[in-house]
Amino acid sequence: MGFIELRDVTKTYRKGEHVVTPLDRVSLDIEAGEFCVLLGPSGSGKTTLMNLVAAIDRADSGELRVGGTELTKLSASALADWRARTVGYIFQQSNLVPVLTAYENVELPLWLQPLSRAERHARVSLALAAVGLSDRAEHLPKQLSGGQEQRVAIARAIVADPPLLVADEPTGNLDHDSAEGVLSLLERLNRERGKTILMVTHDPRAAERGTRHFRLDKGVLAEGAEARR
Amino acid sequence: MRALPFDYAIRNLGRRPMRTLLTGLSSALVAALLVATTAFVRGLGGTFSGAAQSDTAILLSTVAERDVVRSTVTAGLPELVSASVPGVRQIGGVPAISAEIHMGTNLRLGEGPDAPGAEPLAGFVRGVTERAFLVHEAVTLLEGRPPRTGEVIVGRLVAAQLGVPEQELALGRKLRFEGATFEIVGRFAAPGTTIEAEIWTPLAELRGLTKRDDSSVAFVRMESAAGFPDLELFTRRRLDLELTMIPSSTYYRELSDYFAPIRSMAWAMAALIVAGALFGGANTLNAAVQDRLKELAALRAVGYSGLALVRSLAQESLVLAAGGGLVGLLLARIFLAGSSVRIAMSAFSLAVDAPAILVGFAGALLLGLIGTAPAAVRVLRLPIAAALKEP
Repeated sequence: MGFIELRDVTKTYRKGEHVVTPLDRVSLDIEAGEFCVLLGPSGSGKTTLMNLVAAIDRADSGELRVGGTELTKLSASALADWRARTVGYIFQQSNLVPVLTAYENVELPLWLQPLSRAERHARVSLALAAVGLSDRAEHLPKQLSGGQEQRVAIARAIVADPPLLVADEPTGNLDHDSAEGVLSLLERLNRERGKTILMVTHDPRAAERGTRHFRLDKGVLAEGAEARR
Repeated sequence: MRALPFDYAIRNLGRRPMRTLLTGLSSALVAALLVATTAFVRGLGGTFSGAAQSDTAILLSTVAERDVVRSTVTAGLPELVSASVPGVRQIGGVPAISAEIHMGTNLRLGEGPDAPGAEPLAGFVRGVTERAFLVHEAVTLLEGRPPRTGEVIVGRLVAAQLGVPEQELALGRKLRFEGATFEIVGRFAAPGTTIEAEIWTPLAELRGLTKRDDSSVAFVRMESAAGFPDLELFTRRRLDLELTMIPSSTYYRELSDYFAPIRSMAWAMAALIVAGALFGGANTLNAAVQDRLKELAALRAVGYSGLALVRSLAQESLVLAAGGGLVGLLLARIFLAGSSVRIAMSAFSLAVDAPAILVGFAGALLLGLIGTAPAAVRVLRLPIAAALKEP
């Protein structure tokens, strides 16, 4: 049984008078500790698939199991709890809270857990050190570069030690050097900490970091060497 | 439900300083307005209820239809009542029955001559004997002494009622009405009653000036309300006197009811303004949510529930409402406390007391809480995935 299991998952939504089907009976299995890359043209359903796995969107039909939990059967509040325990989400834009410092942004997921102030401090310090930003802890997001912001976002995603990281175009808005830094970080998290990673990207260089590749086209999934072309 | 740190709510207030300032001012105005309205309504109501005494009744003429100014009763009524009705309170061996003339009249300040075009002032004069002090127990001389012929004492709200500076009614100053000049020899208080807006002068002199040999009414203070039936019996037996007896509590309650539409109007106006502020506040918070849709969606993605975000929004709104409310209460305290309101030939003090303050502050907080509702609904319905695509 895989860590992530999708069985005939379909997602539709209305766009004006048209019904769009970004995912059409998609099935896949991902084992724990894999670094999977989702490729495909814009509008192919990559982000939709990732959002379903991260439980921030709901499938219309099919079965979706992550870490043994059937997500389609959970209530909204149960999904929120599940996300807090299981998923670290890295967005294309960092989506940091502008009024909180880097430290406080990283600390946000820990407020959802029964931790003491000292425990939170230890974990935040560790996460910031892991992304090389210990010296930027007291900076507000506007005082950081784009690459630094994204590294803070990664620290926020890993601070609660979730088994799954989902990343939506994490290097999409970064220059070459910053992008390399972020990808290396993801690679390390996968290799050294055993995080399962699901990453959506258009960038072939980013895709090369993955250990497994899927291609989505018009809501239909393909896998393997063909997917990487 | 795990909550967002309180700091998040507080710091959000600094994001749009102008918007925060205007919303805070709106809360301040609502608090001040509610204090003012409560103070007005309670002041107006208290004015009449304060004058009522449970052991005192008013004798007035049947034809006056309970209007003390239109009423005329025989001048010797106190003696007749004293001799015929048991249970009249005796204070120092003197029956507590006060015959009085109540009249509105035109007043002029000083000894004259008046400046060209100067308009007379409409005031309320009560002709009294020294027994009035036995009956109206709320009345206390603040300074000076009871009036003799050619003299008056003035209530502490008379200046406000006439719309003149306090110093115009200082001891030693002069007043003219009914063709005579009076020296002010005393100043009295009667907290929470209409009496404070009256000018008192000796009954006998006022009778002479107004060419009448009767009184308007007689206030009779009994040992207790249990004596009222005897007083009532007296008015029925002495049909020749054409009297009606009304317990003063009934009289002032009816007078208070007469002003009920004004109180209702005051509340209605306050409600309209508060509703305006409510919609403004709700709109502001909704706009704040619109500005932060992506951020809120990101927080949901991190694991915060919709209710946790609503709670944070409510904290933000309540902190602002409380801050604004406190400013409003301070403004109300500075500008309203001790002030009075003119109403016809009377005046009353605004009751800026604990209940008024409580209503003002609670109103501001409630405004903050209710104003969160539309934004809360929006946050709870937030489609996370779609909101993350917001520009």
